[in-house]
Amino acid sequence: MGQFDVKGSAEYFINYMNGMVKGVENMVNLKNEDILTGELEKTEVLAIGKMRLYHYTPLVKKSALKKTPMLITYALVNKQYMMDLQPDRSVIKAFLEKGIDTYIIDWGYPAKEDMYMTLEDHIEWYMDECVDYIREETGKDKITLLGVCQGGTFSAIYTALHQDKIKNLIEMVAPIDFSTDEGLLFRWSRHFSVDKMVEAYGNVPADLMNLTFMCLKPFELFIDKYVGLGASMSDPAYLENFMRTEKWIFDSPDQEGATLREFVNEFYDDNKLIKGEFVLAGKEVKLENISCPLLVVCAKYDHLVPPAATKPLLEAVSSEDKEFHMFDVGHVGMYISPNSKSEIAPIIGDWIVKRS
Amino acid sequence: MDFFGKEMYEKGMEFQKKMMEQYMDGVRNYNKMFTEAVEKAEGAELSDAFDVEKMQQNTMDMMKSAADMSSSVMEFYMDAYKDASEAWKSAIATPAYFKQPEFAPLLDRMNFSADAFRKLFDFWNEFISSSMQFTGDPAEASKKMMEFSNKMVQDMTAGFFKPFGAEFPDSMADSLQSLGKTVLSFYNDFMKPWTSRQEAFVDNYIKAAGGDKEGMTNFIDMTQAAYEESFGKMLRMNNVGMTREHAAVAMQFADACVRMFLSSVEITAKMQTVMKEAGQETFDKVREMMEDEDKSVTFKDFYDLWIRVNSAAINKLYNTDEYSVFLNEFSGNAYDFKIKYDEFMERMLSGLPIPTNSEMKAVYKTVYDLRKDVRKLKKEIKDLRKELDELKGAK
Repeated sequence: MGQFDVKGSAEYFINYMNGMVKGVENMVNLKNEDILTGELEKTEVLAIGKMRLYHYTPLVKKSALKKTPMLITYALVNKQYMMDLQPDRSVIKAFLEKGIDTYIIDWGYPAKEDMYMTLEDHIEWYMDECVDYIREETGKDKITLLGVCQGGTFSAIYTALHQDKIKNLIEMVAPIDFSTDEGLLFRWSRHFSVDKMVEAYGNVPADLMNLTFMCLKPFELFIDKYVGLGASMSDPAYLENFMRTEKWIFDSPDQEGATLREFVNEFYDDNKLIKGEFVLAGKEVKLENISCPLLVVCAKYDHLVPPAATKPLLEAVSSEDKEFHMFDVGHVGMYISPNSKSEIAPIIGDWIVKRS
Repeated sequence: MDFFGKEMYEKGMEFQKKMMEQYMDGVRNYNKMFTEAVEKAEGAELSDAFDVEKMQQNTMDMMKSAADMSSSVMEFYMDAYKDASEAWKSAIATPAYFKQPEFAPLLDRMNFSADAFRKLFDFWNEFISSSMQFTGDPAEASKKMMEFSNKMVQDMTAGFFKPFGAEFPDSMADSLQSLGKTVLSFYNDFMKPWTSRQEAFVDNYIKAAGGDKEGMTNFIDMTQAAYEESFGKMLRMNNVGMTREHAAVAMQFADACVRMFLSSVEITAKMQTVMKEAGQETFDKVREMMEDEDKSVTFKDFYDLWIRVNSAAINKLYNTDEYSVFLNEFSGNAYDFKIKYDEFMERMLSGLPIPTNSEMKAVYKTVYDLRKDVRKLKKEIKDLRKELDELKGAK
């Protein structure tokens, strides 16, 4: 018969409790204003409605700046500063250090008056205005477009419609083929009535979205995550990083009803993008129209956008220069894990630099 | 609407609270058992540390909790059934209910109006003819006019304002009896979805109380089906009269409340079934670990195992098509509740001098359309400017 390690258990408890006590002290002393996020210097250069376009101050001399500017398009869920969450893990910092002239879209926090905003408004209006602004401002005909998650879907659509304005396309954990059964969101959406949800709420509240994401892994995200915090919060640096991520996770905008309705119905339900059946602003969106260099990046343990949802883009485009990378991280880990800046960002950065 | 209104909601909340307390009791019992086992294990054989009898007792307690939960479910629905019966009984027992068929007071009013009209015409004729032979005595004419008016007022008080259906003609007695039979037959039909399933209800209730997963699922499914076929129909039926729209909104809101509540019960039962099985699996795995002589198990090992087993169990449930379908039903009911609640509240607050959500939505739509127009016009101006600059350049 095995042993029940009473001594070991007791030691674990005592250590845990000691750590907690110290951790609570750390937490009390950690002011909200000390939890800094998105610290890199940037300037607002364009504003339409609640959308803002920011330009990051280059970290290299003007002469060392790469010729092709880059626009990052983030998802409507959560905020774009995730790519610059921690100074030591900032993906954007890694790009700037490589001399990539970087712009980013902040979609803002939609209010009720934005409930009728559609996919067309985001892609053919806001994104297009941003791309044109950068082209005019930098005097370049084409730019590099980097799409993250849902922003990657937008970027693929935009490039398919405006290939003449895009020099390189990077797709990070972006859902393109929604037929996969690997992620729960994909599986559940097949029976899900988004119409009723939008009818009920207008704009879908961020808390409801967060609750849905947390319910995908209830034991990990409601219990284990915070038990883990208790075990490590005695370390001020750990606590600060944890709080930073926590702040970002729950800093979520509401979802514009009409856009969410279209996104779920057109993509999750009917999978029109990969089938070549999606029509935006009266124009057919054909992924085969994408002919520029393409980099597709996936996270191996992504439970929100599994690689199977992203990878098919490689086959759908007509680009000859295309590359694929898969990293041993989860969806968010792509941007905030220890190897974000040291491994992931340099690979993407080098790919861009070579083509800029 | 008290029956499916506040009272129903309070019962629902009470029931949820009771379930949560029982679940927490179960968890506490297991925790206590485990802690005691740890304390006893020091310097003793593990077999001594784990009190098998106590474990069995705890399992029995958990099962009892499940039985209590099931009995709460049954109690809840029996209360609902009782309330519904009372509501029907009181409706039937009030004579005024049968004394107000729409046509009876209407006929009365029509007769009275015709009578008054005829009397007024007679008076007019008399007045005109007497005026033609007017002898020059205005006091006499005025007196006649007053007499006629007083008579009309008396008739109106006695006829027009008399209580509705104070008496029925004898000929109506048979119709009333027939109506009573129809109502009784309707009532029996109405409750049929419940009464016809009586045996299955009891059978599945007993199974559910014994911890049978299928029994619990069947019991909940049957409850939902019976509700949909009886009270659900009633709450979604068409209304009549001037307040029909208001009544319809209130009844649909009540229906949405019940459907959301039933869905909540179902999702809770599904989760608890999975958790119960996961609890058993965790326990079996701990026992397996203990069978390895060289193994030394800490609380951290147990915690990690607990998280792992429960996560896997939830994930397994999540990945079934059956759960996807159910989740859609559940969320659909929750959204329906929100929609109906908003409609109901808008009506309740419509008298206040504030804009409603629907009115604001119309404003938002207008603003959105205007923004798009502005954008289009701006673009046109930009293109025209460009063209102009090009023309200037060409010169």
